[in-house]
Amino acid sequence: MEQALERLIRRARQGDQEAFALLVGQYKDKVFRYAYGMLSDRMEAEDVAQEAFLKAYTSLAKLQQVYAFSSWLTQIASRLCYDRLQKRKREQPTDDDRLERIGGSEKGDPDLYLDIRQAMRALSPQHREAILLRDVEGYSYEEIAAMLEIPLGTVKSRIRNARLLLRQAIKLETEENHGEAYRG
Amino acid sequence: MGKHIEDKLSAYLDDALTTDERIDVEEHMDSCAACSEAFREYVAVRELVRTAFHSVKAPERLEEAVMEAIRPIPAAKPSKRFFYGLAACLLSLLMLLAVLFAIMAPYTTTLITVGYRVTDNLLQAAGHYVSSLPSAFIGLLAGAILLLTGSGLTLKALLNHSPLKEGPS
Ligand SMILES: [Zn+2]
Repeated sequence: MEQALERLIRRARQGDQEAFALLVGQYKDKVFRYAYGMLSDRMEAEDVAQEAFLKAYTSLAKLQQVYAFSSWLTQIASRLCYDRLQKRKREQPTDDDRLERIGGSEKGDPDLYLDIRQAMRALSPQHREAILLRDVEGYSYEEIAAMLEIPLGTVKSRIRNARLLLRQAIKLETEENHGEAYRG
Repeated sequence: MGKHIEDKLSAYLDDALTTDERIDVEEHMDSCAACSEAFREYVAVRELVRTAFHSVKAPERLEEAVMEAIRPIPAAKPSKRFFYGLAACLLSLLMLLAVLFAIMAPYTTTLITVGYRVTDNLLQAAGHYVSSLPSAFIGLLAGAILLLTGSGLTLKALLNHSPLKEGPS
């Protein structure tokens, strides 16, 4: 990790709010897109990102290795996302309703390619997470294993399965969307 | 050309194979259209997903919201106030328990006595005592309820005035 970043983290750990603000600026996109990938909902992703930073700020003293800040922050966000998904499951027994609602509310969002978004939603949270951590954020197998507290072998097979499923889902989505486009 | 190597493509993509395995995979792909096509798809999907998500940006207000939330923490003040409030509540609860104990103690003793010595005299005395209880009991119970309500209100008031909810001063 760069020296400057390490210094920033140390300063923030000593309660320097200015340093922490710089960290938020530096990591907000990363945390937000991870939460967005997990939850497929901008508002919820924003909430989670905010919560994650607050949690990080109050527990910075517990961070053992400064170089692992990024993993640590992602781990916090990951737990918050699973809490949300759990809550969602309790509140909405059928996932389909939820997907429909999100699909409707995000029509004006041109940022993310529709096919990818739909395909990601078709995966389980664990598989989505594997794709986000490995292919989007570029964490190593070892980093992911430490972050999720699972064996290295599980990380490898989870990533392999997630990629296989995503590839299939994208093929499916592409076909379906093309069909729709021609019809409408 | 050996058996298909599709299940090794993920590790190959991450450069996580041993040298021997990697050579196997590459040699197989040279002669197997299905596996090399699958590999091209994996690469394309990874690229697509990466591009798609890297175009996602956090809302501008996020940073501000986070800093707004951590700024007004006057470190010692809230915890001190909360601690005093908690202490006051615990004290009233303790007093309440003491009062209740005071009510119940003679009553229990009497009951035990009655249980062990079943004589006309004692029964009469107990009868007299019990008959005198209701008024005293009701009085003390009312006092206890008052105390409980009081401590409850104190707690509520303290929580409402928690400095966490106050704006930056
Ligand atoms: Zn093959």
